[in-house]
Amino acid sequence: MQRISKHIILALVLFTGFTSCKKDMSNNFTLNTTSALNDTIWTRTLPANAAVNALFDSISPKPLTESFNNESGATLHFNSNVDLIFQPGSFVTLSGAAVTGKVNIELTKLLTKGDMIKAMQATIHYNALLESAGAFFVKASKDGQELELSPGVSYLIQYTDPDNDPKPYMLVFNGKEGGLAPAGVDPEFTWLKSADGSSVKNFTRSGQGGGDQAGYEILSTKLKWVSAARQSYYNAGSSHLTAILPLNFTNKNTVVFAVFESCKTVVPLYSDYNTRAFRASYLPQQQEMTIISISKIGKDFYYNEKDISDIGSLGIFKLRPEKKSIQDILEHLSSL
Amino acid sequence: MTNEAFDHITREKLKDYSAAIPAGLWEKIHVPAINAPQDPFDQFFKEKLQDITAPVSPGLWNRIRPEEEKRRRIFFLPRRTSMMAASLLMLFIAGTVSAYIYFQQIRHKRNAEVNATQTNQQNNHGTGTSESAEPGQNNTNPENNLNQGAPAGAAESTVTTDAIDAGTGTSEQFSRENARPSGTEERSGNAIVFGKRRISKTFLLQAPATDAPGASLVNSNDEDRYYAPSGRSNAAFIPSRRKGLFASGERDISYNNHTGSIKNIIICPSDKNLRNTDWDLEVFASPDLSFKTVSSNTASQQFMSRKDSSESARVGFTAGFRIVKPLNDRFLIKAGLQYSQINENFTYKTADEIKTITVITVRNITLANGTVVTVSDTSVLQQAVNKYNTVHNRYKSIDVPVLMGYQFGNDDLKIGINAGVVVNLSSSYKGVMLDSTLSPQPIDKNNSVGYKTNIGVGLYAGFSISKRINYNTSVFAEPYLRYNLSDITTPQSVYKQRFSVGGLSLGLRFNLNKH
Repeated sequence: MQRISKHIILALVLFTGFTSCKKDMSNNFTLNTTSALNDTIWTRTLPANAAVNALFDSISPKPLTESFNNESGATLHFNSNVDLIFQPGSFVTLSGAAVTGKVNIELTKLLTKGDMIKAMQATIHYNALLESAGAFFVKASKDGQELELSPGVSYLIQYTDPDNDPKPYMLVFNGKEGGLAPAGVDPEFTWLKSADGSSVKNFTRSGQGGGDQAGYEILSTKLKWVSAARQSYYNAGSSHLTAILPLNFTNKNTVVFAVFESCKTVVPLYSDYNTRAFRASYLPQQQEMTIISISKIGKDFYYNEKDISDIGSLGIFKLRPEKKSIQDILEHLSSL
Repeated sequence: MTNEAFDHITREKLKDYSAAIPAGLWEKIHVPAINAPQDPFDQFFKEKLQDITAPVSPGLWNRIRPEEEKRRRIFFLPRRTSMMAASLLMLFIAGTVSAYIYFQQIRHKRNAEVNATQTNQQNNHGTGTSESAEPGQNNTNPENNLNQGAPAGAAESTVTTDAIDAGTGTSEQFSRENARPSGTEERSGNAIVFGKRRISKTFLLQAPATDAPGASLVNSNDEDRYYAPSGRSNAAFIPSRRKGLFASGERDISYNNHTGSIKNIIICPSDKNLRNTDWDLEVFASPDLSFKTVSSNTASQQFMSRKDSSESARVGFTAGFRIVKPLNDRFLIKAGLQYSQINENFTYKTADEIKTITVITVRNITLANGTVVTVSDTSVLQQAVNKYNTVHNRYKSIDVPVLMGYQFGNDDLKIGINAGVVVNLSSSYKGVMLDSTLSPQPIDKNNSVGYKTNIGVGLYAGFSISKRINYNTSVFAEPYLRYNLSDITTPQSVYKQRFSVGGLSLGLRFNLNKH
């Protein structure tokens, strides 16, 4: 009987302990199927609603806008270092009709490596690397209607390089768009030498502070993407550069660039669907560069950069993007 | 005037006084008293049953002295410790009993010496009654043997009983007086009082000498009724006498029971009077189900709806002890201390929580020279999940139950009802609650805004069934209902909330007065 008593008491104690000693909290998880973070699927063709397009909208440089009377022509000053000089009657409608009155000019200037990344523009001529001295996107419109240059008419872009003194042998390149520019990443975009093979002139003028200013002068016969650049030549061997990111970062929400340290060369790493990686082909070895990834997943931005002194023969690097604010990302890019 | 002086004077005055004894008086007294006739009824049963034996029912001895009693040990103590404790207890009891008996014997010797001295003094005063007693006479009264073997006064009693056979009236009265009290009154030092009574009896015996035979010689109120001759039949006389003798014998047994203050170790389970039920201890635990009533003070309908859908009751518990004091066989009162915990689940959803999973990816990458390299990458996959948090809210309280119970049944199985109040000493809460903005807010002992720290008094009603499992222990089950009279929320809270609790107490009841 005493044993029974002990068993009963033991049962009571166990029951009390079992009832009272439970975790204060338990969690159940269900996957949020509508969250962008859970979309880890790569795509062969970027859809229009891909997150990278939204990323472009978030970080791309905002165009500067000026206007002038098309009949009289004008020199437009965009900030302190870029002037656009238009002759009278420079623009006609897309159908070739003459345009009178005020014409709006939008200018997007890409004078730094950070600007180029923000605009998701590379300095390449197909697979060949270019050293850029600056790039511009010029757009003319009147009453919301896009205009084009009058036949045989050119305009002049004068600008100073904030980073470097003017370099020689720069040529005029025009951008060949794949159809999406400038509203997003254009994997088919490349720079082509101007049809006339004109070169970029250097100029020197008196600055506002009293000193002389040296810069470039581009005479362009085309609107939209115009660049001063020259082809880069490297003696060392080349390798493919491959960037591997975690599964959350796909070609729909991430762009990756390689930025050369010694010059304004920005190379996009295109998405490789088969390997779920970002790749750039035939980059020179023994070059210091920085690999930068920018992502937008949902409302969050992610950023990562990796400095490498030499991509070596393997050229495979792992990036670990971290969540950043858009301001932080822009500051990082401006410091490149 | 002292008793001794009074005795002396009386003795001197009456020593030569004599009165005639009515004829046939001694025959009436003597013969039936010594040779008590056999009761035909008793004789019949004696003849029928004297050779009958009956088998002992199984377990009878266990019930008289259960086996467990032999090896009972203090609960929760190891066997060896229990044995040591039992040994020490036995040593203590044995020592106490031995010492008590030893000192009692010393006292008896001293008293015997004092009595002997007093008797000698009385004899020296010349009554001569004791001198007429002669040993060696037949003692045919078996009841007188009750005094045989008794110390001190017992020997004196034997002598005086024999004196009855001597047929000496005064001596007989005297000796019976001395025989009856045995040593008890000697202990109390009332030997002088005996002398007084003895003289009184002599007066009573002799005073009605002129009365008719058969008249009552003694006052019916006198304790010595067995001397009263009666006109009734012998059969009617004997029980009266027996009763008197038995009463004397019982008194002697009681008086001689020096260990009367030591509890009898032979316990009859069926004897409720021997098993002290003065105090019981109940130890219990109970699974509880809580019933909540919630109403709005200033809370919105949305809040009330959200609160209702977020909270769900879970099984709680109560554990504690109660001291039970039986007022009589049926009514009892209980009071104790108990800890109660009402459990509740509070569930809320947190959208887009990040869950991280470590994954290893393997890729085959073609290098510029055409070589394929397998690259494995250990990275973290983040997943956006809807997190359903379930928090176990706990409403804790420490209470004092004060209950009145009524029970009935037998020793093995009792059924009862209990009712009373449960006085809250302290209440505290831990968990998560919705605030007025419908956001989950943690509450705990230090942050329980809107909740009382004392919920006052509740009413209690229960129905109990108890089953005895050994001599001192019963197991009981008691379904009960507790209704709290006040809310757990303060008047400033946006809602009112009150709990009622139903449960099933399971526990043990220990008799605290172990023999």
